[in-house]
Amino acid sequence: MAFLLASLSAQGVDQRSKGMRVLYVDSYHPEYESSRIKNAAAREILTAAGVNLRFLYMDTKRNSSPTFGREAGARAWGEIKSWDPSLLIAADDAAIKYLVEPHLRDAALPIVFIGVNADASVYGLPYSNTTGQVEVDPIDTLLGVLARYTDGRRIGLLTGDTATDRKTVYHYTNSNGIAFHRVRFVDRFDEWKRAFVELQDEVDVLVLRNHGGIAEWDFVEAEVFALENTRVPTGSPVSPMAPVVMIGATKAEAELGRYAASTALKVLGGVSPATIPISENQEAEFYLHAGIAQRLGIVFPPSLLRQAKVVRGP
Amino acid sequence: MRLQTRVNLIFLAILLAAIGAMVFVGSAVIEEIIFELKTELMREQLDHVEEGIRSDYKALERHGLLGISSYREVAQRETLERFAGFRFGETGAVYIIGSRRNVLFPKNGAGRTVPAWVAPLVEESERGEASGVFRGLGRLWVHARFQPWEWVLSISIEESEILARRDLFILQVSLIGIVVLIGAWIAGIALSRTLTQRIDATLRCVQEVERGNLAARVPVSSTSDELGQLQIGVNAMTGTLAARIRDQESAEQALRTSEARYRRLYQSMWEAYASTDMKGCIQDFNQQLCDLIGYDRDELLHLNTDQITPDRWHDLERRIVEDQVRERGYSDIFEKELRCKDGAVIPVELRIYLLTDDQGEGVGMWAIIRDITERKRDAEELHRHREHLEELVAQRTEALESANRELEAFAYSVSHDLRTPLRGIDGFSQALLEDYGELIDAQGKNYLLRIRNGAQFMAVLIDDLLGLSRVGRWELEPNRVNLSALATDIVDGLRHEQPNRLVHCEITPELYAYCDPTLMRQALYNLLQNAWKFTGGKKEAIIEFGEFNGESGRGIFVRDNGAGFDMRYADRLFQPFQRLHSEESFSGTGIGLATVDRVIHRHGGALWAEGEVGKGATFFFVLPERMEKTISNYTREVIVAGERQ
Repeated sequence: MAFLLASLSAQGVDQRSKGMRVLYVDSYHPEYESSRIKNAAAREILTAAGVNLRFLYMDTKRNSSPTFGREAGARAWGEIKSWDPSLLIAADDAAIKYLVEPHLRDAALPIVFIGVNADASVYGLPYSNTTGQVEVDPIDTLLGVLARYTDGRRIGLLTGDTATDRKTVYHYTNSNGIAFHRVRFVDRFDEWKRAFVELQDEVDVLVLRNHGGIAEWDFVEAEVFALENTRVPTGSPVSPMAPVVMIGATKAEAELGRYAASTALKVLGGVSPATIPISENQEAEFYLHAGIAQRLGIVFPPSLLRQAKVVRGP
Repeated sequence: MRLQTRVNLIFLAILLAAIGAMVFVGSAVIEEIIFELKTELMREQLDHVEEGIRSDYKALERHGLLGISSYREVAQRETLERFAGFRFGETGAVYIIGSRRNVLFPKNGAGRTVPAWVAPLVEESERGEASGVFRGLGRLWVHARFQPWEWVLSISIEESEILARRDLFILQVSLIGIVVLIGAWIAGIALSRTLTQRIDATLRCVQEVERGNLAARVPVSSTSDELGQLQIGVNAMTGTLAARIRDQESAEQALRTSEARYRRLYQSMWEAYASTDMKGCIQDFNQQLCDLIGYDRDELLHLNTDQITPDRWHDLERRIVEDQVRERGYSDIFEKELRCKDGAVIPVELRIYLLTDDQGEGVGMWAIIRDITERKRDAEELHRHREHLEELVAQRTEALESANRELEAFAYSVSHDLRTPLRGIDGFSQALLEDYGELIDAQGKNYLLRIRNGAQFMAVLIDDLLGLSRVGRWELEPNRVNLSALATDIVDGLRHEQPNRLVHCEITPELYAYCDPTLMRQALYNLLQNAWKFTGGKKEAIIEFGEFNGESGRGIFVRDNGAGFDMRYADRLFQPFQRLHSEESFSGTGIGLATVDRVIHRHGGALWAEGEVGKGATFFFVLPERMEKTISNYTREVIVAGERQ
């Protein structure tokens, strides 16, 4: 029924948005898995509605310097001026930071943003011409599943030492109310490995948030290392870390793309962005590492297996 | 047994039968429905259970974990835990049997051997349902087999739980039935008592009527039910019966009165009356018949009609009876004779009528007979007077014709004799003018000329009178006459007399008539000369002679466009000496058209005229049919002759 209503709604919008120009500015590159899933979901809906859709990638994942970011933002601004779109979709933080905030704050062009990590207020959002969705890690869901496999309550967190990770951990603590027993930010791979072993002596559950900012990071070695050294249930809220942890509960990238597209159609249909409140992503995707679970003597039940992807290990 | 008791027992039997049938059929139907619904519900539940197990199995299969025993065991354990809170009714039970026929679910039975009622299911089909008795309790169960794990899934429920609804229904219906039965019993007693009282009253009334008391009536207490309608009907029927009896008595009285009246009528009428059977035997009659033929009453009752009718009338009378009386119920009035007792024969006229029964079959005849002896005698006397009168008329006609001939001869003689002195007057007046004209002054000459004119006019008048007289005396010698040739000859003569006149004459050729040629020439001359004279003032005079075919038949007309006449005076046209124009305008004696009229009437024809002052006149005449036929036949003969040529 919901799908039917959504289809009908899309049909209604379809007539008004047909042929209108929408520029989708992605902070990263097309091959980036997160971008690929989000963009595909958005493309499917907007194309079906007859929107004239154009993608522009800022490639700041592979080029993280502020200078590159500003240049990418300027290129995107130039594209907006020359193509004159009816709406802008800005995906992830860089697009906000280098394009929307400096060039389009409270402008006439309506903007739908997605993938802004944890707290949109750092960019002064929302503006009068924006609405969007803040990207939050499904950390509560992850800890809820991990709690099934331990009797203890001590939670540890290990992650790269980046501004995003620190901001996220801050958000976990203040917004989600999670009391971490131990938190370690590392910037090298060997340091990560040592911390991984040490933290398991002090906590009952270990969250490995991300590998960003960790120099010499090697996924294959990290997975082998984790497989050989995991002694407590481990989990991660980001999908790249799924091969390293027993359970991954990550945000559903497609949800972000679907949100961006459906909200863009509403705005194109005449709804003011300022009247649409900023929301958070709700769905989660599970990754289960059968090898690490086996090492811990854990067997996943069918109720979890039915909604998860299973990582078999190296 | 009293009717009331009988009705009560019937009520009771019907109610018991109805309640019993309702309980029996209702419980059977409800039991079947409940069993079907329950089975269906259990099957759905079992499908739901199986679907849950299959979903778990698929999850393992999808992730390639089926081969890992620990995953399988966890999956199976989780599956079984999921059914921990499963309830199905009050006595419902879910059993999941493992591949070793061990009970996997419910948990409290885990490890025990399977119940006896479950055991056969392990060996039986993939899925199905059955019922049976286990530990003295009937159970209904459905089962399905989950082959990958070699599990048998079963849901069962005690039949007593299922049938509880049926038993409740039976209890409810029974209670309601008892209440209804008691109520109906009481109502039935009251109703039957009321009914029987009313029936008794009706019966008493009918018995009263049977005893002849037609004034008896049933007291009607209610008109809304059948019994009330029946009582009203009985009262109405009794009333109708009484009225009919009164009517019948009145009708019989009226019939007796009528019969007496009619008997007085036919006994007192002048004519004789008699009725017979179909063989003619006399059965009834009035005194006039006795008086007419002299038989007394007893004698007539032993006679038939042939015995009082002369033999020569028997055949005629039989034909009349067969052809008229039997066919249409009565005869025409006819005459015959009756033979009196003293042998005298008297003429009578009569009409016979047929008497019929209810099916219309003839059962007798009756007739009114009138003595016509006086009438016959009068008729013979009249006949004799008529013959004498005709003889007298012939004698008188002969005398009249003789006198007429003498008168005409006298008139002819007088006219003829008058011509001589007239010629003398005219001749001597002419001689006086020629020989002594110089001695006579102008006035004297004028007198002499007027004397001559008067003498000449008188001569003409005498000629015309002689002509008219000749027509009356002329002996007709009819022959075929070509009227067209006669008309042409007459017109040629007129043209010769007045060659300076321009007259256009149209004469239809070949018109023939069967007539006397001399008289017809005279008539046509007078008509054509008349037309010639009265067209004298026309520059373009037209005279037509032709044939017409009008309402009076075929005939001849003569038409002109001359002075015409006023139709108001048309009846004077053919009277002698009648003139419609002055002498100064048109000369004449006034005898011509009278002569034409006499000629046509001598031939038995008719003559008439139509005209309008200043526009002309048309004279028509027709000759009798014989003449007309002659004209037509002769015309055809001419045509045939022409074709032959």
